[in-house]
Amino acid sequence: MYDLIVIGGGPGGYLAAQRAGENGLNTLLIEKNKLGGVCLNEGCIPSKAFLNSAKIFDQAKNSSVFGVTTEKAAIDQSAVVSRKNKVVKALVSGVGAAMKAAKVTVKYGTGVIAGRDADGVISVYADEEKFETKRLIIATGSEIVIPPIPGVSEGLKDGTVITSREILDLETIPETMTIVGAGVIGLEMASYFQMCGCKVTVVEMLDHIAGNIDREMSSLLQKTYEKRGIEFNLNCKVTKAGGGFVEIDDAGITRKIPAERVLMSVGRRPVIKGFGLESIGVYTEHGRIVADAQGRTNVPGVFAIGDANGVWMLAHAAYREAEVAVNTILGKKDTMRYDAMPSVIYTNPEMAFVGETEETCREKGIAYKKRELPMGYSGRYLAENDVVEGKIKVLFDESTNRMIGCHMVGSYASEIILSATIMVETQMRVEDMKEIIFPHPTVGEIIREVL
Amino acid sequence: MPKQLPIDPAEIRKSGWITFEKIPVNQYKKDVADESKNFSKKDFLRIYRDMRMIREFESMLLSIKTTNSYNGLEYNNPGPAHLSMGQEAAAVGQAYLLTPDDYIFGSHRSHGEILAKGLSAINLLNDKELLAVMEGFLDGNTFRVVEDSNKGRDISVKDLGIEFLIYGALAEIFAKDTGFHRGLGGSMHAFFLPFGIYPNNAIVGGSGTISTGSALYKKINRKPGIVICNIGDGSLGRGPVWEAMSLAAMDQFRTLWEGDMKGGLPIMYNIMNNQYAMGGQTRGETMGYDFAARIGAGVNIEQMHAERIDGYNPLAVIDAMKRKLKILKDKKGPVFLDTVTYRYSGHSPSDADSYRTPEEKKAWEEVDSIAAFRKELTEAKILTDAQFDEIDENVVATITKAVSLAIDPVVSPRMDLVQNPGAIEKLMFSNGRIPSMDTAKPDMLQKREDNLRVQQISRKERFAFDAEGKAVSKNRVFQLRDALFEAILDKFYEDPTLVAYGEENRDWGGAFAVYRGLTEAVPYHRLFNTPISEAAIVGSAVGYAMSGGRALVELMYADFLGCAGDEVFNQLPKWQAMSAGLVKMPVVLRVSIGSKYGAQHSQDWTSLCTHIPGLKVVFPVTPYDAKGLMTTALNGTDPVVFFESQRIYDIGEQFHEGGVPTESYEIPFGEPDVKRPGKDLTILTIGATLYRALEAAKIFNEQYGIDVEVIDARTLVPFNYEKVVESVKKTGKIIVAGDSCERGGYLNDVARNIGTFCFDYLDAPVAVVGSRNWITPCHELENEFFPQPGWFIDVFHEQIQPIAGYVALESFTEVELMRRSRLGV
Repeated sequence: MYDLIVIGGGPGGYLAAQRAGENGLNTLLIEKNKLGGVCLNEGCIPSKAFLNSAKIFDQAKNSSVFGVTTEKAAIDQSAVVSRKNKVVKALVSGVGAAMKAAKVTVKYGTGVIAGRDADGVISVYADEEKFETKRLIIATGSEIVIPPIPGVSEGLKDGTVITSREILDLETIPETMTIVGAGVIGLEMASYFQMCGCKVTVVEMLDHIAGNIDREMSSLLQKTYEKRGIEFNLNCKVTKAGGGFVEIDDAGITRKIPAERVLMSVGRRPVIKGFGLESIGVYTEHGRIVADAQGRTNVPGVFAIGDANGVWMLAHAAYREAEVAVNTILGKKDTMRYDAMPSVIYTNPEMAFVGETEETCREKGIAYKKRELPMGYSGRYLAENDVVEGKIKVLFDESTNRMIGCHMVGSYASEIILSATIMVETQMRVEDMKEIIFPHPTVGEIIREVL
Repeated sequence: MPKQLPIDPAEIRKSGWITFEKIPVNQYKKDVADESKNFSKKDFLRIYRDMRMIREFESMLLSIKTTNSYNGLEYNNPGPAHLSMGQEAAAVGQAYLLTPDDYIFGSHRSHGEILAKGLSAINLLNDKELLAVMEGFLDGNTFRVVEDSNKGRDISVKDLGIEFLIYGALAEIFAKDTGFHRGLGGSMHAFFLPFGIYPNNAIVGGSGTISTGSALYKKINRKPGIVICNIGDGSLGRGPVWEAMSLAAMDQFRTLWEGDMKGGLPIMYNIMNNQYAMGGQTRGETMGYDFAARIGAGVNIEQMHAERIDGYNPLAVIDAMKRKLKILKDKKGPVFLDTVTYRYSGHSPSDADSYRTPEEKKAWEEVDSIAAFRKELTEAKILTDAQFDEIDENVVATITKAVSLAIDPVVSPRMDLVQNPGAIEKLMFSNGRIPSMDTAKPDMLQKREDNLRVQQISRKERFAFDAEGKAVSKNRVFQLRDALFEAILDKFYEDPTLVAYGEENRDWGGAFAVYRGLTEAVPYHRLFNTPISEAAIVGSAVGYAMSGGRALVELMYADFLGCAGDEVFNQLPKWQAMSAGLVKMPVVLRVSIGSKYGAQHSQDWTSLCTHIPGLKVVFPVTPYDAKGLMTTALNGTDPVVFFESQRIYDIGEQFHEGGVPTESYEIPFGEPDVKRPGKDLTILTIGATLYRALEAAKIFNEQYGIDVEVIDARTLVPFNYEKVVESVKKTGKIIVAGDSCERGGYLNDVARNIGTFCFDYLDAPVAVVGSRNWITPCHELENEFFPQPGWFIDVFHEQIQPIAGYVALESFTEVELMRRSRLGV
């Protein structure tokens, strides 16, 4: 009998297995495909490889302002893909090595739960093989949502409609691409293909892009993209897609947008079916496994972490949830907090944020102070960027003078957001932040400036 | 089940017919001329005056309710007013022959009965007695208002008495501190004990069981007078009324009770048959009896001496009362009277009369009892209009004066809960200690030491472990049931008023053998079996205690509390405070929580009782505590719901050093007891869960090195938190546990309070372990329902502090608790 079985080897699952193994728990990790999950294989990491290539290409094309002349800068999409594959392979094997080092047994196969007996022993199958445990971490992740739009299923077959999975293996840059859904994935791919010379159109049902981010920052981001040539169709519903075009309903008027490829990126949903969850009576609600701040489900010894619990579908949320769950199993008090959850959109320019937005402050009735500055207040930012389009906005709780939110658009935002995350998580007051020495000249200094 | 009454198949299976006697219907046929030899002119005038007084009183209330004024006086009375215009002759006729020793109990529509009985008592009492009653009542507060208003006037004591009665009743209806029970009863619960006017009841038929208990008290304690239960025709649809009549008509009064106790109960069920049960018409619509009097024929061989009488003629009522009183005094009760009457007013002033025609009302008004009585007497030239007019004037003046006094906020203030915030609080319990409710010598059948069970018990070991710490066998150990027996037997020898009854108390010895041996020691009239009538068992105990006795009644299973819902929730707990402390309620209600008996015989309903203000609730689970708490309960003057557990009647005393003392001792209510000291975790238990918590404590200690302090609540209401708070300050962690279903339970109250008192000391929220919010399944599945030792470890691990390496079996995770709540399970 294993001390712990983890179903799903994505960021949540493999880290949980690793931490459990490191702490002496006899741990089994069941993965049906490849270690690393969506993040490593077909999400965060490969898309970052893509975007870095595009950013280099973009800089090369626009290098003359920096006194650099390049000729015939071109993107070789198949080379981009093969480099991406190399990166993924290296990382996946790295995870495998980490499992070995932590003495985690990894079984490849579909993990299926098959019941819990009177002594609390849970049976789990990896394909035909049966394993037993009293503790189970469910880290089955999420899957792509394909809305039932006419033409989509045919398009998926003939390749005119693709998802975030296939797009990372595209060997050529299409002439035109329509992206359905202006979430993080959609925006990152829009940015990539736009930089690579594709005519990109984004269709979004809501009246803004990038989901629940600070509304002012999302419109700044949108304007920046529009300047670069991406077309946005907000408040629009896709009525047909595939076969070279997308048909949208724009305030009652049907429009046809040419699209050699259509990317369906309307969202992801937790994987909760098909692996015997119901055999042990795990409680689900609105398509997600309900877990508490320790990751505990309603069944003793059974935890749900990562995308499967549907709280924050981000790899780094899964990492932390994995640690909280394992600590709980180990008898160490630990609690998952989501107040200081950073998010990054790795577009060009980047966008990063943590904590409350002005909208959530108003919703929750939090009295806040706002400070904002153009990114150009950072000397390094000015020295390195031609177009000064970035901005930082920081929100403070009026009563406590603590930072409760930070929102940035601009290069390095993805790296700088960690400083802000620490400040929010540790509930630092402005007085405390002012005592921190920021290295000069860095773009991160912008935080000191904005205080 | 008594052996002296063999059940002979030949007799039982014999062929034959049941025959009934004719039931008289309005057989009174005399007129005033015939009656003038029985009644003086003064008597007639008094009957007239009393009826007019009631009519004016009720008309005044209607006027105030509907127009906020009466005779030029302005007042707004938001409280209820169920008026009885039309029913005066029935009330006055009934009261005419009664003495203050005769008790009446009433309904929500009993103003008239109170006034009639009060006027009758005033007429009977001499001036000295009457003054003593008035001056002594509630420190003279009510009387002083009337006395002051007559300063400088020459007024007779009887007239003062009448003013006192009208004012006291009205001030009570207007919720004034000078009212008959300081405004805490109000219109539907007004009464005045010194005149033999016992509580009216807002629950339809509520007086049925209570008055029966009062009659039991009179009979068993050889007190003078009879008891009348005034209830409406609507109440005949209520089960407790049927139960009360069954109890009152028990054969054993004649077959088994001995000596002067042989004979029927001195009670009359008088149906004030005003034809309506709120909006339902009893005859022809909601009942099938045709005549209410028919019911008597279904209750006993004597047909309860049932009779329909004309309640529109006071002389017909007096005639019937005279005959029925003799029957009762001859120990041939119970009696059933179907007194025909009619109410002109609606059920209450908000009643739009949509269920009857104006013609019907007019027809009754045309034969109005007061007008007809006056007409008959004037036409017979016995009395003159002038004599009646003078009475009318006096009546209006008396009522007007009472109104002016009662509405005056200075003369008649309300209870001041701002200046005196504890005024109601201190009335909730009488907290008395009266070991014997009477000075008479207790009737017993044998000396205590001659009792076989007493002798058997004397040979038992009074501690569960011998000198070497070895457990004493069940047969040799002094059990919890013995402890209860001892406390109860002691009280039988001490308090002559103590009665114990229930469904299998005699001969059988109680379903759980607590009373085994009592049959030999206690005569029938102090220990008897009742019909399967839970409402009547509890309700009669209320009446018994209210009248001055002490009752120990038993419902066998806690589940049966539901069958006595009104009696346990509305009557038993409320009368002490509703009477402003004038009534005491020394009732101990034994209920036993079942085990192994499924959904309707295994429920812990302590929480239902703790929810009700006015009940004391105890639940001892060791022999030492059981004896001490039972003794306290039986010495007290408050209603106590005494919970017992069928899991542990045979358990020996494991905690109290030296075992259970042979002599009598008390354990004060409200004090929890530390059954196992510890320093890492506190477990507070209610009831027999204690023993599972102790098993858990052993596991905690042996397997996880956690030292548990286990505290037994013993009493739920009242409850002193000090010991628990002290423990939590030490441990920082607490689980509260009991066998009642978790939702809405007392455990959650306790958890909430500990959370408040100990917030700064707690390392984790207070954990609650109760039974699942399910039906109690069969015994074989009970371990999934009732808290088990392992559940304590599980809840500790999931809610207080994760134990390294531990995996729970029973789920106490947040998600599971929320899931269950969402589904309501």
